[in-house]
Amino acid sequence: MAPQGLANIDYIIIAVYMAGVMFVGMYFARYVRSAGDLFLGGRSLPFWAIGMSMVVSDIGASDLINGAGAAYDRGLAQANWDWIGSVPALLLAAFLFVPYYWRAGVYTLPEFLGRRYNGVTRWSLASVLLLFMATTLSILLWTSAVFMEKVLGWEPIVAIWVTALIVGIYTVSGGMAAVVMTDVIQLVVMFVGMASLLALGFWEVGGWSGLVQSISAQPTVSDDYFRLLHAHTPETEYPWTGMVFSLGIVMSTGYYVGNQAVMQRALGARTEWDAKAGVLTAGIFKMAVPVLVFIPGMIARALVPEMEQNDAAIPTLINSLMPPGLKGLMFAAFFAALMSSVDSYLNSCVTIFSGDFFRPIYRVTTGKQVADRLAMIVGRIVTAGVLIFAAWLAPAFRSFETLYDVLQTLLSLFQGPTLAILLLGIFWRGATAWGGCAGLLVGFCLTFGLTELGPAVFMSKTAYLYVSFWSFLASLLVTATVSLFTPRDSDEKLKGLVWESVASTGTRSR
Amino acid sequence: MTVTSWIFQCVLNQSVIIADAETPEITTGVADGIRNRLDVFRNRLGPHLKSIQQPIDEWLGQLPMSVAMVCCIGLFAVALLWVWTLKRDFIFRGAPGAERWRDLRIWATLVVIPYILVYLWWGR
Repeated sequence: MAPQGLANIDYIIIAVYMAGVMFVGMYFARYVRSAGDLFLGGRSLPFWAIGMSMVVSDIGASDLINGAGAAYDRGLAQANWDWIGSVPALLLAAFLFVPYYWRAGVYTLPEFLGRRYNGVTRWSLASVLLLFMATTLSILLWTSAVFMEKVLGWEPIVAIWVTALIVGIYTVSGGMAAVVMTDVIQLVVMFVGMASLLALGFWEVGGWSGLVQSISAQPTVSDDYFRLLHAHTPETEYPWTGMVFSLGIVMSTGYYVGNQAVMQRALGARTEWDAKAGVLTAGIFKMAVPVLVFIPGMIARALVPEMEQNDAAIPTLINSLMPPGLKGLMFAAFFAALMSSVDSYLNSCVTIFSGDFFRPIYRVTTGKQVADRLAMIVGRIVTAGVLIFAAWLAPAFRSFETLYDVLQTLLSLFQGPTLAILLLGIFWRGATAWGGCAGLLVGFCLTFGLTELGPAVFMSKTAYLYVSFWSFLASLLVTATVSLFTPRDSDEKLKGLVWESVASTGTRSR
Repeated sequence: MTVTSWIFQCVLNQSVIIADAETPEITTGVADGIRNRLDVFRNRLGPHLKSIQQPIDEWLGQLPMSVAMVCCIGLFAVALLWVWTLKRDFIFRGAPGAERWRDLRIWATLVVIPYILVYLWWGR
């Protein structure tokens, strides 16, 4: 597909959009007076902004490009990632984990685990999350480069640094409130842009029935292309067992409750009710995501059956279907998806660095609490540093064929073990500091080992589905076993950290 | 090549380009060494774990798709039922008022029902 560039009207739309986002981002910079403002938006976020921000941070450019590319190849089953892979987990997050974290008054999830277990557990998870988020940032920047190269003909390296610069400016200055409020705009732009593409695509293929007819006639397409649940056979990438038990129970719950970038919005809620309602609002918007993002991928299959690269599905559709003006809107939608993910991961990355490394190390080395202003300055410097690192690393991902499975594999590396020790820590008073620590570390090692062994052990091509599940069970077992042989924590330490003591009180720890 | 070794190699390649351009043979040597170790690990452990996983795969492969549907819908239904067991007090904690529309159990029901219908229709 040759890049066709944009018309003047497209550039005007993109410029207006960029200027709008930058204005909103910079506007919120005036309210940033403390580290709490920078990292948690001053804990004043309303439920609707939390919900919209959670969805738009979650979708991201990778879904628009890589997710739609996977839908092009695998069909409707791709929707499981946003349907069964979100709603049961969001209910658990809203009514079990969010009230819990919110009342603990913590900045980060590792901080919470550090209180429940010990410092080793906290820093182990914080290190893994930092690595995951920095790598994810690089992947997102590379995805943007691929898109801009295909649609605009830009050099990837130029696209990476332009994106990094724009997102960096408003994230560094405006902090969490800027991230959430620009996310709200970005969600609207993204939904409008994708809805236009969907409408044009359906017009072209003759509606849903035309889509089914056209794809079913292709000899290379499987019978399950329009089914959500596939049999447990080696031929399918998404067997139902992996979708229901691993994605539906372990991976999605681990993703929503163990991923700082997602949970940070709820921690910034103005009330506990807003935190819970915000997560449920995300569940409402999630229904639309596969319709707007993955079905265009399937439409691309109907229109261009033998595409060289699956991930080119959406750029191809844009180039072939969208008239001037709408192409600019679509480009803005893509950029919205990209920026919303990059700014979220960036802000969370820095929150973890500041909350779990800088503050404790400063306290130990100087014997004093870190001043709010210093924490804010360090936070901003680290934001810039992480972004530069991610932009530097981004071109390394040019050798990947599809990045969707890579992102899921990265997530699977910590979801199972984190969920296991969270659940035991909350519901079992007997889970000890060293039990949780051992469960987490053994779980990490197991996920790395099983991921490496993947194709040699698992029948499915998407081994990460089963790696998460087994590492979750192994972490549960190890935590329970080690806890039985190590000293129990005092009731004083567990106060406000286990379910029965949290469910009965309504106040925040700080 | 698996994703972890892939990522490792990509990061290493990038490091070679940026930081180690003068002595690429050192970094390449390290990469080869690690790759060989991973091969040994895979060849030794893989068959043992496969012998555990294979019977599970065979059993799961024989289950009819109606079981898949029941498990899937059941997951949504159990999550929703659990929400309705929570106390009203807990649901409304922090809410500015106690109006009916603020009852998050109703929100949860409105969120879950469309998903159940979608899976009943396209899950078959």
